[in-house]
Amino acid sequence: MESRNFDLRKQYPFSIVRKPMILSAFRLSFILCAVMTFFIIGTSHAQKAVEVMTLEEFQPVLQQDNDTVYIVNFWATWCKPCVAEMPYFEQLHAKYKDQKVRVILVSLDVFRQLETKLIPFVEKNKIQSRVLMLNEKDPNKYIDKIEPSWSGAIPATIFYKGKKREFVEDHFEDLASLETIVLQLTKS
Amino acid sequence: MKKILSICLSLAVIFAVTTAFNSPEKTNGLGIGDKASDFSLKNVDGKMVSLASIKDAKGYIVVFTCNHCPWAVKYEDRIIKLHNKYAPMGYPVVAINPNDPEVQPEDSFDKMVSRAKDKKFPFVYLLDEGQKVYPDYGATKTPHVFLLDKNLVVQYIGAIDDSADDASSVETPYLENAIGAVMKGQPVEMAETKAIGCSIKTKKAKKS
Repeated sequence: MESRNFDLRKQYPFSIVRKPMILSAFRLSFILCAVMTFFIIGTSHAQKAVEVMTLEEFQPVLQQDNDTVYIVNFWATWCKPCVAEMPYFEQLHAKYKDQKVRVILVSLDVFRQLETKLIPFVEKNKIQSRVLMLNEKDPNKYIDKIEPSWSGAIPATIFYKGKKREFVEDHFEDLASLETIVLQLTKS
Repeated sequence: MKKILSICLSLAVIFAVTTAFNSPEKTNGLGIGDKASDFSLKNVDGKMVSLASIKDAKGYIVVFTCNHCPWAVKYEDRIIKLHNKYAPMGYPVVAINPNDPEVQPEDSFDKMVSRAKDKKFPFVYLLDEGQKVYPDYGATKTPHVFLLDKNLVVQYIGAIDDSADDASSVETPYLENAIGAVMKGQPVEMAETKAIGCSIKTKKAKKS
């Protein structure tokens, strides 16, 4: 009996003949682990594509007191001039990513369109800058808290470094006009 | 003598500084309590319309809106309902498209005519030809509401309600609350609100 089994194991080193139950359980757990790993990677990827924040969670993003220049652009997938100027923000991100310059794209799309519109937009256009979604229903409750001089029209962009701040309620038509403001803040 | 001179000088400096800082804000259109100016703009039926030409009005719901802006489109049905509800009480909607059709062809006069026809707009839908009215009012986006009383005094500026995306989940109908107060002759509790909207399309705003 034993020699026969032994032979079989030699023939099939990972055979399930000898301990069928234990080995299949082992396999099952291995598969489960793999599935879970993929799932976790998958969801963290989705989370990375867009961070969803409430106003309270978002406010510290506007108050980072260090020597980095932050460019915080307010946009939405439905806003044509916002989409048109996005390449310049992406170019800014690419050009200055090794310096103390950070581009943050804050989407004002509605939350129910996170999966159907925003994430597909970010993935299709391979957006490299950090993308946030502000998940608040009533703009009247957040516009003034973000920037008192902002009327609510988009696109709109805040540039800041420490306490120094520039606000532009308009669209940009090239990288150079973004760089001008960034460089002013960098020097200051 | 020196003291007086220095006081005079410092006063002059203070005056110069405050006017320099105040002046840009003054040009930004109407505020609550300001008197709006009337206009004469072409309606989608081809006729010229002024506020004075609207008979039996006790006030005006001036809405800067347009064809192309998805956020304005979300409000179309609500603007129709507002007009149907309040026009018989003397508060008609006066819709104005502030965009330059050369910059946004979707907002051309012809497209306005067909949009008004498709949606059976019960209110006037005017084109701000030459873009002179919107800067005068201080509109910056679509939709953007200015509620005027009979004497064209601004009573409310801002949003229609607190839920652009979904009419069924409105909690505070800012504009209707304001109309209600004006109708009762009471001060508007929230006279100014802010909303997200599409920037007004103009050649001037383009950066060089």
